[in-house]
Amino acid sequence: MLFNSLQYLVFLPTVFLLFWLVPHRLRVPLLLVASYVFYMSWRPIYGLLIFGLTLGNFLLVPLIAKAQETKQKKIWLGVVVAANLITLGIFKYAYFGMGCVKSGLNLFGVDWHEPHLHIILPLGISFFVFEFIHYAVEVYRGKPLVAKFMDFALFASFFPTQIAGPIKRYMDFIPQLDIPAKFKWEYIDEGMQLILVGLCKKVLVADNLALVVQAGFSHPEKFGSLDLWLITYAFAFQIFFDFAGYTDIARGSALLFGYKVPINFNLPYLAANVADFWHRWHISLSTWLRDYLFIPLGGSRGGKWLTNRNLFITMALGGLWHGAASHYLAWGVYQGVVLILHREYVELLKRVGVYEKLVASKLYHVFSVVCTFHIVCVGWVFFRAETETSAMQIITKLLQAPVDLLHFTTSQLSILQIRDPIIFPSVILIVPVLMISQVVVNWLSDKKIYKNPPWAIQVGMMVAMMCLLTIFSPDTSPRFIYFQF
Amino acid sequence: MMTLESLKRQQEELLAMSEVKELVGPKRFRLRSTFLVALAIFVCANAFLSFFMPIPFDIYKFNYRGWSWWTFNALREEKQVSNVVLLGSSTMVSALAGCDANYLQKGLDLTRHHHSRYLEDRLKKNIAGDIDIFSLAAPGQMPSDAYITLKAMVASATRPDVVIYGVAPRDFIDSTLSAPGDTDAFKYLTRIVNIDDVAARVFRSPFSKLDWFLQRAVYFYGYALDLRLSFLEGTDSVLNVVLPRPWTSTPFTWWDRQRLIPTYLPAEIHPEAIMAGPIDRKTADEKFTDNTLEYLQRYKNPDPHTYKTQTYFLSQLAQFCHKERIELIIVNMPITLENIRLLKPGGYIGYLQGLKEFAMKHDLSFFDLNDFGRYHKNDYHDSVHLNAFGGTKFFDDLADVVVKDKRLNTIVAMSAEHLAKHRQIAGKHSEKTY
Repeated sequence: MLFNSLQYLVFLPTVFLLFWLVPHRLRVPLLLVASYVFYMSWRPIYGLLIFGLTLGNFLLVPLIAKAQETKQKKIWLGVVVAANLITLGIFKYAYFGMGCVKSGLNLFGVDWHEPHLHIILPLGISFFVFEFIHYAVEVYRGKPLVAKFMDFALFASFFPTQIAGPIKRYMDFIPQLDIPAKFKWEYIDEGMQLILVGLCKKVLVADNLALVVQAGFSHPEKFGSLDLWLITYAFAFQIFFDFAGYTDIARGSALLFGYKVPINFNLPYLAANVADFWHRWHISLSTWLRDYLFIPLGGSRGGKWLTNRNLFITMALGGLWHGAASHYLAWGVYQGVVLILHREYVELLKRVGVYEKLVASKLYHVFSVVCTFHIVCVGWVFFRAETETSAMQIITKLLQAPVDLLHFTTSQLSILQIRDPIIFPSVILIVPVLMISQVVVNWLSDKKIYKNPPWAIQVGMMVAMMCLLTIFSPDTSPRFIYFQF
Repeated sequence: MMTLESLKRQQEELLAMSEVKELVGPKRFRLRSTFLVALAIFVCANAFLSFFMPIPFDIYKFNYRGWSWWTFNALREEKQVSNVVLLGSSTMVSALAGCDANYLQKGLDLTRHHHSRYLEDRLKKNIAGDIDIFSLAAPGQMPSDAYITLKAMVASATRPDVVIYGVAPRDFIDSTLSAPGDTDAFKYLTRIVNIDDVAARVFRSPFSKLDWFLQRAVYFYGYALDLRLSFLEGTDSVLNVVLPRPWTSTPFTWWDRQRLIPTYLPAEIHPEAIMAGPIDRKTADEKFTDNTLEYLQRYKNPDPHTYKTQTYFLSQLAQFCHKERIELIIVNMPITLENIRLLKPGGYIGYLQGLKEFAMKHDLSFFDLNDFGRYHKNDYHDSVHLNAFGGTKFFDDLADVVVKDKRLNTIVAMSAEHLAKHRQIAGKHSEKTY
């Protein structure tokens, strides 16, 4: 069931009404049933998978808490984490692994025909497996167990965040379930506002940019360097608006029931460096990677080389988490390398003694934001390209842009030639507007009129969004990009 | 150690504090729910616009130039009145295109060629007056499409006197057939005609039905396409000024677009995209392709619901023709014996018997033109589609049965005479140059 589908338009209000009509003690079971209906509407059999993992974790994690000795605790933690990762590995990485083995054997002249396992990647598996691991590690670290199975099952399957996060923390989520909240109109207002904004991000921006991105990344040879820069920018905004839109809808849907789930984005394209970018982009994943991968690996406690190694491993595995394909790994490696380079650059500036001065300079800040955006965009090429060869072909062309800019004429822009669909030439106008919109939102973010606008503005905005969504919702909208992860 | 209980307490305290803050905060006017007000305004705006219809939209404008769009575009540009209409799926389209291309000895662009010149001339040899045959046949046309297509023609252009509908088993039992409301024909033609009378049968899933209801109830949703097209036209004019298309020696064409973005309007047809050219016997024989595997899939799981739905629409078509005083002729199209053998045992006989009973019930003419002794393998492109030579045989046979059947002969003759008079009065020359 997609958030931008008629099914959800029926499903959400039904669950919402039932939730506030039934007594408090029935709300968790109701949401649990609704969440399983939501999940099983796609492929009923996979309801068993999420249930099995939930039950397994619920039964195994208390063994970590009960173990008296640290060694025993570690063993049980290892068992739980391994069980979760093996499940993820089978469903998500089996084909990739076999492909790698096959390529390896080919190098030695062995022609191995890998078996076809008929595995279909269960939606959201990467997200709920990470939530289970987080639970196990936190219990290992001394945090309390979840007492009720229903609460734990809902934590893993809560339908607004089930398919593409945000990755929740049980210490934030579970206590909310027991509070006998009373219905408040604010839940509807704020929840629906978030849902409408999220749908607009997805339907009006991301889905329209998808066409240009698809054309550019599947046929880079048809476009010049400047076109490809525009297409890369377009993808940067497509993936941001797609995922941020999904997160807004998820947060809005949760808020309708009075529950809060964490934010995932904080104007990431205004980040002044790549480390800052990861504090603003997919926050629930980056903090998960920090807490459950980077820190257990040793974090930044072991000196420069170990810190860099840990960063590299964390980002490479983070890349692979996005998908079982080498271009995702390449993207993760790229992120790891640029993070290491950034650390070295900061060290260098500090050694030279100009760091404080530069950071305080507004001009340098603007320059840093522009540079970071472009570094991130180059990374997106690895992420979106179908193969590394294609990514390298695009990046080679992107590097030719300065030369092409020297003798720029509009005839260099192939996207200006394409008038149907009209989104192609429009990208030249849309991309700057989207960039400026980030700056404007940042400027407005601490203004009273933005944080608490007058009701007339709120109503006007909601009516406008409803009209735009009913007019511009396409007959067939592509799935959310992060569904595949 | 922090426990969940203490966390809960913390949250409850925070909740209570925020409520206290609300109570002691400055008093100001506050709506109970901004969302509900917004929803009410949205509903009122929709009701107002649905009632007053302030924007006149062109119902023929459509973003998807599929087969139906081209057919109705041709129909609108047609200066002559057509008194005979052909309906049918690709079995009819293929026979007609091949036959006419060989008859006229030129390449035919199927987005523009909508007449059956050979059949017109064949009938004119035996029946005095004017006969103008317009083909509404379209690849994949099911009885549901045939029904709405004819209804749209009557609503938007002219009422023919005779309709010849060529059917084949696939039109009723194809397991790959979509729900009636999902076809290109339905999506375009529902802009031209009202389908409220059959809406319950058009949409299969409850959500398709809900979608249809919302389209009828919500102005912005129902006219979304028109509003989008107006917006796109406006944007296009602005872009032409702000970002004009630069001159290049190799402009970007529709063909380039198809290669670049195949998923964008995938079934859109462009002039010269589907051509039929004259063909000789040797080439026709060489071009035969075996599509048995495709039909194994199509006939694999005959869906009783689809059969029931399509039979219902055939019956609606018969009733519509009866109401409009149109003579409906059902023709069983020739297909190969090899293809029939792919059907479940007894399937073809059952299908034929069903058609015969249907024709009797509705007092229609039915002709089974699938004569295995007359149509050979070299009369087909594949196991179901007639080539130019098979098509010519088919239209010869069709003309023969119409001429020989006294009732049909009289009806066609009266229609031809009437059309000739009409053209005389209109002052137009009845002989056309092709």
